[in-house]
Amino acid sequence: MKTTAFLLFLMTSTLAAQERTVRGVMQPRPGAPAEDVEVAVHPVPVDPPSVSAAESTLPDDDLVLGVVVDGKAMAYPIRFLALTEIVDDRVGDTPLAPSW
Amino acid sequence: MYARQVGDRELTFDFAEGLWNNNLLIVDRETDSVWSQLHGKAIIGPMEGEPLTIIPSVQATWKFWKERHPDTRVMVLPDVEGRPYYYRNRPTGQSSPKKPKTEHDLSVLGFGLTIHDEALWVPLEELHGLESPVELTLGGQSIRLFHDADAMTAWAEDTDGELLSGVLAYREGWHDFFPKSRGLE
Repeated sequence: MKTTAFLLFLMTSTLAAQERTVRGVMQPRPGAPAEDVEVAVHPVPVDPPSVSAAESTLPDDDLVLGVVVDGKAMAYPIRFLALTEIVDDRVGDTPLAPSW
Repeated sequence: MYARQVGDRELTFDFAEGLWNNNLLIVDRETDSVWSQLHGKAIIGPMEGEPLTIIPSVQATWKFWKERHPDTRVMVLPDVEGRPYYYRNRPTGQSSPKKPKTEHDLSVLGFGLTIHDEALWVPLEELHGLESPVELTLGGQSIRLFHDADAMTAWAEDTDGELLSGVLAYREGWHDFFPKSRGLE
């Protein structure tokens, strides 16, 4: 059951997007001449699962990024955000992207 | 933290390798535009120049957050054989994603906030030496800076108690974007 749920999560999130490369022109920093750049893009989790505070095993001293939207509170452990830098989630009706 | 709604379009962001001006790049799946996280704008692609909307958030310890918000939920990652799935998802031959920082240097980690083009950055070390909240004016607006050393946190509220869009940021990264940023003095 757990495996099925996990496979479903993978199929509906990261497998929908591919590792890819995006090309463009940008300044490496303000004032510097523009350069051709190629950026490697890695898919990140979409709609990651969550648990209640009572169900969580996260250590008390772990850092989280917390948000309250539409009266709903949500916490994103920095240790998870640091793995993928950013995730795509939804709190209430609001689509949001916590990042680290 | 940003809203994923830009105009009438909902975007899905992925992580992009490489830094721009010492800050994270992200790419949306819908248009393949490249965005700067701290800048909050698209810098390459069809959405170039479009701004993202900030959703105010607070960085703190889990203990601090769940005591203030007992009804909170918290993100989890499904494990496969004890490893977060992301490691399985990376092509072979590539380095692992960087590990989370476990120790922070509080002299270079600080609280940053901009209001009406006026930017403020205060090292946590300095903030933790003052009584919370610290009252000040930024961008013509009266604000209160709250902090808690045990919870390794700082945040700003307006005089009505509304959370403002400050972030914890390292000195170098913040000042690359806001070179005229001031301190508490």
